Amino acid sequence: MNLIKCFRNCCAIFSLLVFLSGCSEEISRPLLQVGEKALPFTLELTDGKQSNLEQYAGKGLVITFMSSWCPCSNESMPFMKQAYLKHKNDQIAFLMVGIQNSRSKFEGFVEKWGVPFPAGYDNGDRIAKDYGVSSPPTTFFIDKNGIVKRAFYGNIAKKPDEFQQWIKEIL
Amino acid sequence: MGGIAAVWGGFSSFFSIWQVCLLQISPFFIAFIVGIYLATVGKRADPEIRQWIIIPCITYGIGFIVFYSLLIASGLNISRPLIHNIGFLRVVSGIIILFAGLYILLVNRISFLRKIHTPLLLSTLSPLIGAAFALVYSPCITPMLSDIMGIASQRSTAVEGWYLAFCYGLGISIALCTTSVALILFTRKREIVLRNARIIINICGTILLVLGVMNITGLMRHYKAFVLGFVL
Repeated sequence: MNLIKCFRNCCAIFSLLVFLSGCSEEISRPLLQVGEKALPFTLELTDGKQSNLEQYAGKGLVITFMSSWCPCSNESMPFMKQAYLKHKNDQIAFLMVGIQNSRSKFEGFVEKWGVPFPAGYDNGDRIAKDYGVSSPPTTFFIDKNGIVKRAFYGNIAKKPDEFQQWIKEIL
Repeated sequence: MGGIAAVWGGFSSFFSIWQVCLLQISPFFIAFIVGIYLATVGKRADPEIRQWIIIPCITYGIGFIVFYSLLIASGLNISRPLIHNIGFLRVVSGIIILFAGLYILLVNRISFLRKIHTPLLLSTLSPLIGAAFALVYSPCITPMLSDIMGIASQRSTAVEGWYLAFCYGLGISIALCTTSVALILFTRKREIVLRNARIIINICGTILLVLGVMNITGLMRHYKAFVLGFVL
């Protein structure tokens, strides 16, 4: 009798879990390859506006995927801010996408670092999945024709010379 | 960068600030090993460490390293189906981890489980647990992993990247297993541990249940955001 009860409970728990698993929909792509066309996206920014890839047509775009809990994302921030200030008058845009995070934590991260360029929370990590991003921080350098010229994993502050080179490639 | 440097990179990341990244799996793996060991103490007075812990750790490591390296080497064709279906695979992994938690909780309560609880069963199931841990783990990127992922993500260098990721995963596994075995060796004769074995088993089982449920329901992001964020 106990065994039947136990089995029933297990079935009930299992059904509940299968139901709940619907909350975690995920179809991912491998990382966008160099030379491929960047995929269109729409991102809701922290200031309530919307951002999409088409807005950046004719400009280079540095798009970086970050998380508040990730040490490398935090270490990258001063460098990214500096880089933005250095290039803000060039034909280059910067965009930060918050992934693998809660919205409130990501917004806190943007506020903490005083991010001077557009930033938005990627609800459900949809953009990250399209771009094949599995880990923060990952940064793409997209040229004015929308072609991915570079993809970089990790703390970009450790590669200042390469960063300048990659910026030149998308100008 | 060579294989030995990558092994060292994975190993040393465990004992550095980069442990923050590994907190997605390290407490859960330790809970698994400690829970299994203490559950075994309930069956035999002094279980042999090699049979009951070290061999399952090694087979766990094999499962972990294979899937971890394939997921890092996203430029390989063989990795693509794994990455494409990562959401589904995480749910399946969550269910496997959930069953591991239930197993630890129930092994001394259900006579059937008590009967099948053998080193052979553990060594056979541990690769599955290792694979499940690799699938639920989305690493944040240490400096060395940054270089490895850069190599492994592009098709032209994916095989070299896979090899380095394999070595890096080996380093992580060695650190995880060494720490767990050391923890058991250090505490197994302590009276306080033996006296509270049942409570510790329940905690270890519950920790695994929580990890399983978080992965099934997609709540893992909140664990990362709040728990890992708090540590940082």
